Amino acid sequence: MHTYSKIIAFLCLTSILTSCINDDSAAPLFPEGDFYDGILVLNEGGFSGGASISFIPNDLTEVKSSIFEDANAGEQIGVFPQSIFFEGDRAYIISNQSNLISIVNRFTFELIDVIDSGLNKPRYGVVLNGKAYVTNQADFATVEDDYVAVIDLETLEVEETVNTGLVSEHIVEVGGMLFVQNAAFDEGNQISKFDPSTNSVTETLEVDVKLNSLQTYNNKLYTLDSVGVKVIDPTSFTVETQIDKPASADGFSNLRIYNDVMYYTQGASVFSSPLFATELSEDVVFDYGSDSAFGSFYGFGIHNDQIFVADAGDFASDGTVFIYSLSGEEIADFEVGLSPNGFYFQ
Amino acid sequence: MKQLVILGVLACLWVSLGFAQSDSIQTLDEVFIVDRQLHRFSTGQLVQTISSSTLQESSGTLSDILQQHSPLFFKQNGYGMVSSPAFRGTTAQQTSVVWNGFTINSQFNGQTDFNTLLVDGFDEVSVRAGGGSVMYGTGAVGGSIHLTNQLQFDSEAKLTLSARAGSFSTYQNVVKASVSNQHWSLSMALSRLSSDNDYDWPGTSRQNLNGNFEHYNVNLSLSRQLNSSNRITYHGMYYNGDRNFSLLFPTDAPSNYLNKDQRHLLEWESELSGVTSVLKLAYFNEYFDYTADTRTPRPRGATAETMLARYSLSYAYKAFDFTLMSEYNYSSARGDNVLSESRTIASFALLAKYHWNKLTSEVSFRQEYADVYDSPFLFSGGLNYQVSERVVTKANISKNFRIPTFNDMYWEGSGRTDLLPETSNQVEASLVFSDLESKHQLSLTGYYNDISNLIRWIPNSTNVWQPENVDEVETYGLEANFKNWFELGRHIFNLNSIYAYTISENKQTGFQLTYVPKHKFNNSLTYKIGRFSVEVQNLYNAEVFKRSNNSAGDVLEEYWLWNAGISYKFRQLQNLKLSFQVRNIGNIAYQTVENRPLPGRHFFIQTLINF
Repeated sequence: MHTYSKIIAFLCLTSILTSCINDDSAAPLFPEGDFYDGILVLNEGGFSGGASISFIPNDLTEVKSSIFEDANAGEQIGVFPQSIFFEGDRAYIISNQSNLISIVNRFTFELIDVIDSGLNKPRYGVVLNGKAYVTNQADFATVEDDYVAVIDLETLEVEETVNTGLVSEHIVEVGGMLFVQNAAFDEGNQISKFDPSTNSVTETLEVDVKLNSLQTYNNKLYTLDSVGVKVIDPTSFTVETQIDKPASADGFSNLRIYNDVMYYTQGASVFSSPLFATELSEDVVFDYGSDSAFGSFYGFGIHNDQIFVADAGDFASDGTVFIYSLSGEEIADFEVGLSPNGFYFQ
Repeated sequence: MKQLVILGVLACLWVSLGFAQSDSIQTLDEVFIVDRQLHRFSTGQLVQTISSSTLQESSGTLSDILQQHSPLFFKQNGYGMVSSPAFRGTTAQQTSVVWNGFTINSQFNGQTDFNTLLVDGFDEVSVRAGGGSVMYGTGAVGGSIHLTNQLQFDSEAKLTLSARAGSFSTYQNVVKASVSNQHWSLSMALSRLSSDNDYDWPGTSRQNLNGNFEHYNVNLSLSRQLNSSNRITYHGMYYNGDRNFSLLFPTDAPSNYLNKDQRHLLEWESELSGVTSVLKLAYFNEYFDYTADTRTPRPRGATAETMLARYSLSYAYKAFDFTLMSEYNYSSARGDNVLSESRTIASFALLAKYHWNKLTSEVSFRQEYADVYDSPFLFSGGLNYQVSERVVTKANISKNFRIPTFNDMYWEGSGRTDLLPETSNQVEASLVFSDLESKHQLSLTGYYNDISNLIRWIPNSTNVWQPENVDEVETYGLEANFKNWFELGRHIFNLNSIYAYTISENKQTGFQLTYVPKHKFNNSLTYKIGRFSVEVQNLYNAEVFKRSNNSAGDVLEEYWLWNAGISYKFRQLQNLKLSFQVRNIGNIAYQTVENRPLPGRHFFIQTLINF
């Protein structure tokens, strides 16, 4: 179920409840705000800032730039925003260098509050039972100090920090348990299981080197490393199936799963394989011919039968978003902000 | 490596033999400096000298002075923070800082931070726009800045004390002393500059946080006249800087940067029958420690050492001036993020100048041999022609280069030893008009510079930043300098205007490089009457692009800055000079780097006394 539909359902429910209490207010069918039906693009900016968020409506007619700054005069989201996580109608924008989470209404982008203490180079976050779990890498020179910050979303205080002792990057939730990708920048080969009831890492599982993706699909964990895709059962925390890449192929990155198909990238190409394949296919869905030496697939996402590619270009000028169909036809492209690194679908 | 050593030794021997055959005595200048070649071999180029008195009156760092007295544009990460110049639209690494004849750009990043050099320890600062690699080696592509110590054998003792205090708790103190007799000359300077640097960001509710700094600088020069034709000179400098880097965002981790540099230079100069033989031995040591988060300090640092031997022979024969130079350079680095590596460079240069009536011509060549990369053959050719008593024309053509730095080559996990040096081919021509007494002078210079293999760090496929020889850049422009000196009875006026028009384009895209203003214009007017003087300065920088695609919405706005100062010398108090300065009078909000606001209106008060 898409997040958007969830929200509609949630809002319908609340509107029914509130309408029982107060019949005067007509409950909106759609949430208020300009940004409820489209794609958010997070642009991480550069060493001296310049980060922004762009919005592309689902009809792909235009792109709106700097929606946070427009909604909040004089405010900024911090330096090097890494990712956004959501809960209800709130979006939590994590600024890596500024140790800051800006909380906005996800549809209006009006700033609600900030979390500005207890974080140290935060990366990714996920919400479970009213708490946010945010990975922090602290000093990049060592993994010893990496931790998960447990944040009470009522008080917005970091109530506990749990040291992982391993690189802490992506964090996902399956069946009430949290899983942390202990690999970043091509280093690390482990996944940790984090029990939110005890706030501790209960188990770690070793995969292969160059672990670069951690996804959830049908209540399973999917990882991509130098050997290929591994399907991990979250309960037994063991590798259930392994789908290797052909020995001849170079490494793949950016695993995404959509409608029982795995998509992944290499260079400027997207590849796909069915979920139950025995080997990762080397068939190219499309190659978008990036001019960027290293900024290709700086962000990558699939939604509404469309593939979204963010190209960071030379990292010194505005990046580009390319939108393709699942069969590889280009549908649209947009100039977004400096160094686009991720997509979030409303 | 071994071959290089042999080559170096051979070169030294060869030139020594040449020198042994000559025998006569030359008289010595009263004031001497060790960077002799700067004024001798700058044919076709303009050298602008900033005097010791201007240095004393300016507020300390090299950025402050050059901003006002040269066409350079500086990118500063806030007041006192990292400051990088753009000389004729080139990069900070392509601006060479030459200390008493030797380039002192960092072995790590190839640039000099112009906010870590306290200039009041030097007696003269000269600016030479345009290439200078033949003489100064790597880095002298956009231009060079020369920091020079002078020594005299005039049997005088001098002492200068200066103290300055100003806004955001900025304090600066300088002690300079020199003493000499006919055989010995000693000169030293101690300076200190510190600031809390917590200024309010104009036009916002924010304040500069974590920007405090404290710098110490010691300069020592000692010379011994052995006899009428032999002299031994030592120059040393020690610098210690402790700086926090100001925060972009209040919740950023507070960082700190410590650096210590020491430089020693020993020179033996001999003169015999028109031949000047100079042997120089130098040792440089640079050290830094960077703490990314001072709350949980894990400093990471590195040290680089450079040992240099340079031998040069200069000979004047009739209308000819020759200098033959050979140099051997061994540098090594070690540190937390840099692989322990060393490199060896041997180089040879021949500089020749010929005077013929109103024409002076110069041709010079340099070839380096390095153990890591291939160096191009470098050359420079220049002409000065005195058209009339009031008009001089100049032209220069040169090939220059910049070698990859230790960071480029040996940064852990990123460095690449297959990088090529950046190379530059450039031409320039100048017209200089002046009246007979040189009270009024107008110089116009046009230049063209073609730079290849520019090294830039970009993220690779796994998001690790790595250097690449990616860019081809073309720069061209115009520089104008208008100097005037008027005297009306007791009133003395001095007006100096500098304008620079700079185009610096990426050849692949045709876009102007980021942070290079197309127009820079500055004026300073000084008025003196008796013991009283007033100075007014202004500075205009046109808008600069923040993005490489020159997107119109991403610019730093143009700005006009105004500064003023007044001073008075008290006769009763040993000619104590009291001055008062206001900077950024209009309290304008401006930046030279994105999100790095510079201070609004601020003040300094200074006392200076000479004994």
